[in-house]
Formats: sequence, structure tokens, C-alpha cells
Amino acid sequence: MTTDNAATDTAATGPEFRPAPPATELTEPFWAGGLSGELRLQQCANCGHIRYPISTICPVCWSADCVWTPLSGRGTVQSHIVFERAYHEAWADQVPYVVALIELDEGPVLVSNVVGVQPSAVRVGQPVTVTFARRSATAALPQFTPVDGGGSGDGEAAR
Amino acid sequence: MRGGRPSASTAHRASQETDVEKGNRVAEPVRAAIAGVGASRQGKLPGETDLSLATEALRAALDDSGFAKDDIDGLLTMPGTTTADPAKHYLRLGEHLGINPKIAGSLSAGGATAGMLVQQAALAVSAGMAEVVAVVFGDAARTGGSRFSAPSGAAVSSGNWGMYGNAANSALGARRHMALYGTTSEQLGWVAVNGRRNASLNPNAVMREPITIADHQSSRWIVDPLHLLDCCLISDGGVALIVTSRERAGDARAGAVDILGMGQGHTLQTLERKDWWYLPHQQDCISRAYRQAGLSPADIDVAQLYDNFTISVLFWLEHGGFVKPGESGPFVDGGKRIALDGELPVNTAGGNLSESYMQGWLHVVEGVRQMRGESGPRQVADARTCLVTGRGMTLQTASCLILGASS
Repeated sequence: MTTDNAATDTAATGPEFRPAPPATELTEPFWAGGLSGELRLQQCANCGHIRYPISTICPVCWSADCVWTPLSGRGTVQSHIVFERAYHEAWADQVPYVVALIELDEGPVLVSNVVGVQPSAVRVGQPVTVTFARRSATAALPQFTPVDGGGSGDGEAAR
Repeated sequence: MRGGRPSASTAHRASQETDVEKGNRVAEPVRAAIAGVGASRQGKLPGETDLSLATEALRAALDDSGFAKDDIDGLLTMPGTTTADPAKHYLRLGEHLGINPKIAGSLSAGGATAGMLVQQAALAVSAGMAEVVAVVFGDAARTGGSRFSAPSGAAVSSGNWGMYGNAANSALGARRHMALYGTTSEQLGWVAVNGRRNASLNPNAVMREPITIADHQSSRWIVDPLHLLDCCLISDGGVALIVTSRERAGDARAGAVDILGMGQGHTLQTLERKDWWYLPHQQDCISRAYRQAGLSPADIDVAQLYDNFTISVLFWLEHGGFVKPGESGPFVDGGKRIALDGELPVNTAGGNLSESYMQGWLHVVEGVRQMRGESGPRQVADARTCLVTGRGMTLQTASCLILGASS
């Protein structure tokens, strides 16, 4: 399992101590996009594949040429889990909180949060739209909120 | 499996491209057998180390096999979660044991490693590169300070969204299975109850006190939808296996168990694969082993299915072709079909959930014991074939063995 030490070195509680995403040259456009309300991912300049996770090459054609492309920010909940306890103290004031797999309308799947709704109202297949939580001067975290304010997802229609 | 379930070729279409559909060649049979198995004490063992526990296990396995230390000409190891410099694990263990083998190496693929190393050993003895391969694991995970709650994820860490712990990915799979197929938490609970019921018949199991569905339901959330009793233990212990050629297998003191089929499958991409949550590589892994063995799900008498979490057993039942996609919840409901006298007895020694968390290594040991008819009060009557599965990393890597009783 890949781990990110930036997320484990923090020692205090509360949102300001939640790990600010490390701003590398590779990932900077992803994090900075949120500051202007834009969800961007890399689109391969050779084959057009929109990829995630962020990478130096396209996993389909191996081209290194890509363009950071603005996306609609719309998607559906592929699956979701609820953290009823914090495994890192920086999240202690957040529980219960929802971590979800979000399938974007353009195809890519993101790990993110569903916010602005009771965890019990999140559903597989629920339409969601992006919202951003500012974490630093250079980074905003994409999260998602139900399009209809929550509760009407249809799991059977989701696969 | 008793009762004539659908065969692998018709029961399962979760993966778009199986080997069968692609017409790939079938792996040739290996001429290899497991000649001995052994385990150290299990549980909470302060003061022990990965090396001491691996040594204790290998001593037991060698004694079980009837071979001597000087017969060992292969050493394949899995480092523990507490092992420093894991790539050099086999060097340290070989020096410690005084072994200078023909083949050696260490591999870390989590719960898939035991199966993968047995496969590597089987290929080596089948090709004549070695004759008696010691396959060894030891770890002081319980008392040695392992952290299993680290953030999960890739290039951009999922920790940024507060996703922590090994349970999280399996919980995402469980939730989606529930949403698509109506699978319930109580059905997951029957996997835990079954494992504990079998562990109560296993004097070496760490957790032997029977549990109920009510116990499962009232146990605390690890991450909703997985309760504490959906999760494996964390244990200190070691396990060792002796793999040898069919030619040398006749020398095995307790009788050798044939390796009939072997398979692997890997979905090394995760988020790029929309069906990653369903672990489609597991179906390919098992179908490869079925084809090598010339067997189908209906031919499997008993199964040791990797159970880091209860949901994993449901996936394996579907991927092994024992039920159709989505039907594993009803299959385990009530616990009768997976019980020792059921259609497909599952995790007869208690598994990772109740016997001990040896990352699937004890699943191989119990498979061998079932094939030798040595499992005592938990022995499955007339068991001649056993499917053993393992899976590790971020759910990406699967391996399996089909074991057969010697005729």
C-alpha cells in the first residue's frame, strides 16, 4: 500500500492541521484549480484519455504529453463509507464523515468526500457536484455534494 | 462442492475479458507437492521476532515433512510487517538458519504472498532447479508495533480526504455490493460466525469463544459498513511450508498433498478500472487454476478463502464460480451452506478472522491438513480437493492453489 508521510506527520487537531496537499510540480495544477473553482485533470494530448491518478505518462498510450483539462465537476457516488471514528487526530472534529468513490461524468474515478449532507443520506448512484475546501494558499481540496441536496440516489441504476 | 452448482465457464461474467474468452493457453501441470506444514505459537507473543517465529515454524514444518535441514535447497520468504530491510529478509533468515540454497528470495505481496511463493517453489521443483524448498513467514505484528491504520491511496494520497486504514477499500466494495445486490451486514456476519464456530474446534486458534449475529451487529464500527467482527485479527506468529517434487513427495512422513492448480491475477490499476471495487482479477486467478487442474467449482470439496474482512469471502464465492455475481449474500445467510457439513465448507480452521492473522499462510496449512484428513473435529468428510485463495496489497494482487489429496 502506498502511503503519504505528509498525512501522518501532523500532530494537532482541527482543519488547519489537516495535511495540506504537498504541492509538487506534477500535482500543482490539480490543487491550484480548486482555488478558482475548477476541477482539472490531465488529458492525454495523444489519445485523449483523461487520467487519474495523476501521472507523468498516459497509462493507455504512454505519451508524456498532456493538457490539464477543466471538467464539469459532475458525477455519481460509486461507493461510500462512513468514518465514525478518527484514525488521525486532525479529523477528530469531523466524525462522522464520508469518504467516497466518485465517478465523474467524463469517466475518471476519484477518492473524495461527500459533504453538506448527513452521512446516512448518501447513496450509491447519487448525483453529486464538486465543491472545494481551501487548504492552503496553493491548494483547495475537491469534495462533492449531492446535486439535489441529498437522499434520492438509486443504487440499482448505478452499475 | 456438493449439490451441482454452475460451472466456472457459465456462472460468472463479472470480468469483461476472462482468459477463457481470450483463448489463452492453459498452464501446464506442475509436478510438485506440499510435503510438510508447520506453525509457531500464535497470538500475542511479547519478545518474539520475525526471525524467531519463522524459525519456530520451519522447525515444525521440517519435522512434519520428515526431511532434514540439509535437504533444504530452496528458501523463499515473506518479510513481516515488522521486518527491517524486507528485501534482504531471505539473507538474514538464511544466515540465521545456516542454509545455502540453490534458489532463494523474498516477496512481499501481502495476503497473496503465501500462494505466490508456493507457486514459485512448485515451478522450481517441477523444473528441477531445487528439490526441497522451505517457504517461510514470520511476523511480530501484534506486539512489534505494526501500523495498519495508515492512509491508503496512490500518487495523491487518499489521506488528504481522511481515508485511513486497510478496512477502507474493502468497506467501499462491501457498500457497493450491498447497494447493487441487497447484500446485508447480517449476511457478512455469518462469515464471521462461521469462522469462529470452526475456530472453536481448533486448539491452535487465537479466538475460540463462539459469537452470534447479535455480537457482530453490536460490535463497534471500524469503518461503516464494516464492524469490528468483520475484520481480521492482528497476530504474532510464523508459518512454514515444505514444497517438493512429486518424485520426492513419497518421502514425506505424513503424506504429500499434490498441487493440482495454481493461479494469479492482478489489477494493478485501481481507480483507472471502474470495476476495481469488484476485484475482477480474482475471477481470472481462480479460472486459471481450474483450467490447469482440469477442475470446475463443482469439484471443490472445501475452501480456504482469504478473509482479511468478511466481504472478501463473498467476493471469492462469486469469483470462484460457486455462486453467480450478487448471490453470495444469500449463499452465506444462515451459515449452513458454508459450515463443515455444508455444500462448501469455508475456512475450516477459523481463518484470518478467528484462527490467527498470518496473512493467508495458515489457509494453506489448513488446506493441507484437510487433504491429509488430519483436521480432527473440524475435518470435512471425504474431502479430496481444496481451493486456497489469497489476496494482498491494495486489493490488487490475488493468488490461489488447488490442492488434492494423494491417491
